[in-house]
Amino acid sequence: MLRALLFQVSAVVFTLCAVGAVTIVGWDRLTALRTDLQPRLRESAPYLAVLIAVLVLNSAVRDYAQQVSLLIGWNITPTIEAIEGDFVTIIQSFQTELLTAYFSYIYVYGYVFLLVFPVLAYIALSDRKPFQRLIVAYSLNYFIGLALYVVFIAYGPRNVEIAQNLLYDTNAQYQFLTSEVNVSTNVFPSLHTSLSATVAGFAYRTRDSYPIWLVLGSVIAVSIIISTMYLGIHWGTDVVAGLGLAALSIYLAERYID
Amino acid sequence: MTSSDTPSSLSRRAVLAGAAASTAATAGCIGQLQSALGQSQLSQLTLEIKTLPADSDPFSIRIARHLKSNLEAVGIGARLTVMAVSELSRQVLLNHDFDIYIGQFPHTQPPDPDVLYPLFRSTFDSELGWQNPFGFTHLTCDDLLATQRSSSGETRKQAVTDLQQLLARTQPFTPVVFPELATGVRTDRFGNWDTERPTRPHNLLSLSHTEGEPRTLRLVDVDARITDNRNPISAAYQQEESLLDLVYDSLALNEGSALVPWLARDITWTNGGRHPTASIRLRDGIEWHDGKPLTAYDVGFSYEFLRDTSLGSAVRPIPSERFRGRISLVDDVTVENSRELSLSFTETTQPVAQRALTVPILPAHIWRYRTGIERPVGRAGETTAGLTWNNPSAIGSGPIQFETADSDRVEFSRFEKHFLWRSPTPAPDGTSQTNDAANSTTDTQNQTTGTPESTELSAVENNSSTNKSDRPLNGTDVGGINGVVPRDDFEPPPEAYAVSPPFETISIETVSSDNGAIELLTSGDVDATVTNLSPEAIESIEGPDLELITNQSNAFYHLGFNTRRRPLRNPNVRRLIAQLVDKSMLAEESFGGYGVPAASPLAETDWLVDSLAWDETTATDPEVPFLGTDGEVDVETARERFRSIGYRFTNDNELISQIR
Repeated sequence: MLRALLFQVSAVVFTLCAVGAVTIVGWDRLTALRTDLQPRLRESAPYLAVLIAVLVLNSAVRDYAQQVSLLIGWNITPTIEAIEGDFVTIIQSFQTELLTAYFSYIYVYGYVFLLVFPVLAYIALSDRKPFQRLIVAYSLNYFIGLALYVVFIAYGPRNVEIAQNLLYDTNAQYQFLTSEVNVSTNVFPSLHTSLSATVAGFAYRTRDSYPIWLVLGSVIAVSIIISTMYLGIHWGTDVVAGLGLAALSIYLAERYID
Repeated sequence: MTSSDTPSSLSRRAVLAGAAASTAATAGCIGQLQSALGQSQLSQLTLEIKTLPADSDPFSIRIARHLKSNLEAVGIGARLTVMAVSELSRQVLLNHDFDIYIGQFPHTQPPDPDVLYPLFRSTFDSELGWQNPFGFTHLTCDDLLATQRSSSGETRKQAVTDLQQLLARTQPFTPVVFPELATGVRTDRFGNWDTERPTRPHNLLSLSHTEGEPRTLRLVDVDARITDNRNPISAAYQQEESLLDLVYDSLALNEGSALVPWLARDITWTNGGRHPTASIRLRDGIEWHDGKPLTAYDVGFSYEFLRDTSLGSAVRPIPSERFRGRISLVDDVTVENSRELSLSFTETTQPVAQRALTVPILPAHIWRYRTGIERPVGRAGETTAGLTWNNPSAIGSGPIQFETADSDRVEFSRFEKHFLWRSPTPAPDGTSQTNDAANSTTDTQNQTTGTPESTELSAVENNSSTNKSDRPLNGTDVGGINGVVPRDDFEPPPEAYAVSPPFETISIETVSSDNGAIELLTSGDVDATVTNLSPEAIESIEGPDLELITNQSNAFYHLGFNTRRRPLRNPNVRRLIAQLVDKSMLAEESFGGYGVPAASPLAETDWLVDSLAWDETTATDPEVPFLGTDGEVDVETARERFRSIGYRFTNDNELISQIR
């Protein structure tokens, strides 16, 4: 089941990226890549290595971090509920079948595309900075996110009956995908939000090179951020924290690479 | 687009919350000043409700949500904290760190009333596990628990009646709903699913296998505890009807209506005075999964170890977190020889005493090294290695043995040498004796020196009753496959299990929610679900070869109160909180009709007292009726009731906590 899903997601994202490469990146930059790809990658290799290290670390220590979190973590679910109450219930009250389908696909397919495409688009730029900043910002998001997951134990609104579980109720198979990358106690902050907002932030910075991406990327990012709450997965608080994490990651990445 | 206002209104709210918090902080200071000056502190009473997240269990959280909103409506602050099942068990059962928890009763079958003994006995207040987690101390309750344990007939009936009424009146816990639990099964690879309890571990042994299909029985569960902890005596990691029931055998097996001899070949009861004794002869040639012989010494060790897992090295015994009530029935164990032992009981009767025969038997050669005293992080008080150990290889003597496990899957294989699956053959040396089985001490294995003269049936008193199966030895009926036992020593397994084993391996896949379990079932990746399915999830079970089996479970949902804490030590408060729960509405709405409301823990047994039978006509609790209608609490009535027991409310209708 998982393999079939992974194949589906890969196929969709690959197709979207191919279309995006032709329409947004353009032939000129793509043909230039034929000669420039290797030196550019070599130039940014240390940053890529860090990102890969963070991702490997993430998957390697996830189970262990989970156990540490159980011992020392602070269960903030009731605190979050006290802060925002039934905010997510209100978002879900706008529920329609069409919206649920849209947000489910955006949450799964749109998210992967949103993260993968700018990597491709920025390596195609002659300026190395956007690419390196993006990679550094991704690393920061994951690293800080993982640390916060150890410190804070929080269940999403779907798990405390504040919200319906719209994603799994309608598309139960997706939980096999999401459970591969996360566990139910890790909702604060929302990494879906922070990474989407990071991509949107950089899309704004590179608007001169990719004006269409600014529009498309922002629409997808905003949709993903809403979907995390609409689907009952995240609290509004997680989203606010995710936006903060995105801002911090962008700030640090730009300071580090200028 | 309106979503742009939302963050700003949210932040405004956050600002307001911050302002409120700072006001509250100053109020706190003034409050402290006031109390320093001898005045009472006016803070709102806040209670924390602990339970499982919706992914782990669809029903607990709905009861919790209902209780929280009704508490808040009345003016009591409520915090709802959800946590993983092992964490909840640790906090509630091991650390007693809770105000109110919502969970299921630990017995899935309608029990003997004696299960209430460990739950409410005041002397178990300081013990861990399902030993009085409520901290309930009531001397009349203690007396009734002792009486029902030691008496029979009308006396016992009266004690059980009084006990139910006392528990209903004092509400150390509040039974809410007995759930009707659904199991989804596939019939294409395995058939003959039990129509009541299809996934009860021992019922899996009677499945039939479809010719040509793989011989792996695949189950799916949301509870992943067995993937990293297979300790049968840990309260935080084990519960009834885990597959470990098939890994560890017991002397006798509870078949609901009767107890059948299991590891015991026969059990002879002597009801001398008021202290019964059970003389037990084990089946012959029993082995542990690691090939070592299982002897009466292991059995004796197990009873001793469960009673005190430190085996005397701790200042006071550190008993097993599970089976404590049953173990407390056993007074002494005498091992006669490698195959025979006797258990003598405390003041009780045989029907109660025999419950002690259902505890798991552990291999002494492994567990005797687990008696060291430990003080693990995050645990209150001392415990032993035997209780904290995760028992990775799980060596037992049961029909299945542990193979492998990773974070989301665990696999067991059939233990081919189990007594269920062996057939009688002539004794290898040809010196077969055809006398009564009691004389057949000629087998060459496990023989200790100094075997006493036959102590069996002939030696017991006249008033003894015999549970020995009197079925004729009829080996040809038994689909034995392996294991060879001399004919004279052969005792057929209990009738229901005398079938050829349907599977080679059993696996449990773990998923994150009931929807996922059903997804794997419908896609044909598993053969049965072993988790509580929500009424909504059940609807998606449809398709060829799929069946839904529902069963009235005795593992009722309840509110458990920590009566050690103020104000829950006050029975009036507990009664009023119980009255904020609309059990009928919950059964109908939250359980989707898959459940019945109840007022007594024995509601599904014949012991239920009439005065606590659920009143169908008024659809309300006979002892603690809901203060409202259709789930909506009648706020004014409820507040009046709280005032009548001495509580006051602030001008904002917040109930004032009585801290002096």
